[in-house]
Amino acid sequence: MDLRSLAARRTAVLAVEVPGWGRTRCALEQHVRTRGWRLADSPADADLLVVCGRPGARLTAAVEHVWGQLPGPRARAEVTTAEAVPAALDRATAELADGAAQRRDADGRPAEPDPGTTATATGDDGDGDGDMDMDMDMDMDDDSGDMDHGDMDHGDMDHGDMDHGDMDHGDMDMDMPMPGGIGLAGGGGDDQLADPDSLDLDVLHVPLGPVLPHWPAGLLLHTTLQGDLVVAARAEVLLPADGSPTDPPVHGTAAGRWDAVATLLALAGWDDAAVRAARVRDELLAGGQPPEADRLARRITRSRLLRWSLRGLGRLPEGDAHDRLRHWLAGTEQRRSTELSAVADLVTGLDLASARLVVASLDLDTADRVTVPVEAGS
Amino acid sequence: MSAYLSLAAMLGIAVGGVLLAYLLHRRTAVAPGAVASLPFLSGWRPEEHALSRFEARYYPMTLLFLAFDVEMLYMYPWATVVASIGTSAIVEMFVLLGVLMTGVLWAWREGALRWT
Amino acid sequence: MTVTEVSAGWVPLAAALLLAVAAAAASLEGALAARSAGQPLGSGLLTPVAETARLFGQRRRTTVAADLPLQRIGIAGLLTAALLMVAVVPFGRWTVADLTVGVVWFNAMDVLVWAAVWLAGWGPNSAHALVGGYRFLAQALSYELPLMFALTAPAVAAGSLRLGDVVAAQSGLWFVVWMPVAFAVFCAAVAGFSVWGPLGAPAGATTAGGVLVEAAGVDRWLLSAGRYALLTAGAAFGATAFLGGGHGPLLPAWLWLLVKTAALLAVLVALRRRLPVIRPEQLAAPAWLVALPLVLLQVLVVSVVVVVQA
Repeated sequence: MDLRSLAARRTAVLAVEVPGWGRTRCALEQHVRTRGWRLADSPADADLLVVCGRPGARLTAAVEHVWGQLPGPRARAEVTTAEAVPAALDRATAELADGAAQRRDADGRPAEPDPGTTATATGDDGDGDGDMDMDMDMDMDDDSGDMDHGDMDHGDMDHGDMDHGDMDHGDMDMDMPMPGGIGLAGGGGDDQLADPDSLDLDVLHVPLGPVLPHWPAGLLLHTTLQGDLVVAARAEVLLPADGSPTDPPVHGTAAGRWDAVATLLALAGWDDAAVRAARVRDELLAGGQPPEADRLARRITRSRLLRWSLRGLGRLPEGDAHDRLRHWLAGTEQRRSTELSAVADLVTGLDLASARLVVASLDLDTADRVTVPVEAGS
Repeated sequence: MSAYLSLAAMLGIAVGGVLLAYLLHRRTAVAPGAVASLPFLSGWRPEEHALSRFEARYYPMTLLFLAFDVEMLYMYPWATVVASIGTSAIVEMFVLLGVLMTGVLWAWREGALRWT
Repeated sequence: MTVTEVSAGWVPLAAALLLAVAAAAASLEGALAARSAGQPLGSGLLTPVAETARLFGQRRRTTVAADLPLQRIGIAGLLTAALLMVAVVPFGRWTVADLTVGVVWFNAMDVLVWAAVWLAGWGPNSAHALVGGYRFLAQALSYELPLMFALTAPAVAAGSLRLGDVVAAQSGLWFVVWMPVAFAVFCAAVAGFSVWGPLGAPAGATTAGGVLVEAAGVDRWLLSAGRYALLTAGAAFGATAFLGGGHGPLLPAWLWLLVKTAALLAVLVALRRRLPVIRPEQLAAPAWLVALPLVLLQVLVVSVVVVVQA
């Protein structure tokens, strides 16, 4: 057995889901699992980049940028239906195994990294227009909760003053060292928290999504981090290209609930239960009635450590992250629409890791509707 | 003395092994050089460098830790003489530890162990 | 049983042994992961070999304006610390470094891991890695003191910081029997400095792999191998300081040590399948207010017993 075929046994796949193509992503995860492969945490970890669905312009730009971050040997695939997954993976495997082509790819890569665009640079494909409700998992039978904020800003997507997307920094302060054309971190201005010790601390602008494992499809959460604390956040959803998925949606079904369970558990670091939840999901999607579902649900509900680590996170009137997890497992969740501003509000003031858990606990359905970004300050 | 010679040899093996791994990797990898990349930010270009004045909000805990850490300097030699000195060694050490532990309780009440 | 020091010529063998046992741990983890995924247990056994083949075929990555010297120190640091840790652990009747302060040496090496993990997080100039590195420091501040006091319990009982003496003092009764708290705390701390299982937050999925986020090729291999090596070195030290080292009937002393190390290591590996990750900020209060006083009480009990016996 040579090195390359040995390596192929552990192919790591970075999956990118376009809003609406959850079914395709589930199929991808299933095939990755049954081949003995695994899902990658980041592009550095990945051999294979698989886009599920037809991404719109800004989503495509993010995917292209990430493609340049895969170390190689690398291959990519785009799949739009669950049936197309095995063939796409076979093609990608052949590509990864083609040593000569991989060496050519490696030699042809530029010495300078792909500049990319900043997340706040204005997209011109109209992402962000439209209606602003989205489906979020709520677990009580209270359907009347009105979370509509009347004061949202619909039209204005133009953050002209935040546009650092181009490489032209002639108009910037030239005293500032700018290695790689990227500025140094500085104070956060209005976003920065008052520091009792008058330390001069920096803030970082860290976009979360759309290419991020265990993250809602197409969601882009602009965060301002002070240390690891989210001091401000703004959310938007990146649109798919025209055309809609042929596979039925996963959200709102029993399989969708198990998908949410698997995502939350993977983030909570309980890999064993997460993988088993994904297996239950895939059996449900295949039309089966997985016998182990009840036992797994009891095991997850009973875990004291999990309850302790999720308790109090993402508290809504209806309950916290652990309550929502229990409702998914019991099949008693109710969904209702909410706004992205509510998501941004929920994660503001949390640390980055907790914010990730909270977002996963909301089980956002970004395919349902489109949203406009809404500011949520500190 | 030969113990430290062995430790030096182990350090040599560790460093040599790491260098060897890098050399081997240059031969086996699809290309010997590294890929230049921007840091992973979900598909976006960073607006600023991540290396920055990071706010470690748990820093009161580091001070608490230092107090105990200095105490450990006494603890190790103490451990070897407890049996020979007897009760007074225990009393003296645990009075000191008791004082430090009271400090921990005070720091906890002041919120030094919570930072989110 | 007396422990004799062998010449430095045996050091490569000790290093190879550590890596072999660490690879076995990775195999076990692969097999258990395969079982979770519904694949045959055996299909995961080759995981460390396949992963090594994959990472040695993969290119390295450098990020823009990375702090390369510090990053390299961090990446090499984990494996180095593990090798230096295991050098003082007696392998049955033999040891390559019979330090009079072996316990302190182990402690010093585990503190070296603080620097290594943080540097691996700081080096790549990446927000996720940076957060991961700082989360490790927060976690380390919580587990380190209980670990230090847990380490003094065997030293007090043996009246010596030399690991050979610690083993000799367990000829009648293993320390784990009357120091269960110190042993439990020690095992948790091993998971802590190996960034493993419930204490794996600094490399967790919530920060896209944390300190590992930018590492590819041999860099990622060294970090992963370093984590398994640390876990193994910790298990070997635990077997020595708490589980009687080479003491045991029938089998030769070195085999006993190997069996005990493997058993403790298997428990640590299996633990990862059963438990979610603990967030570092949640760990602080129980570590300082429960584990620390408990382990101090443990040391008190041990000292009183030692004085009464003397």
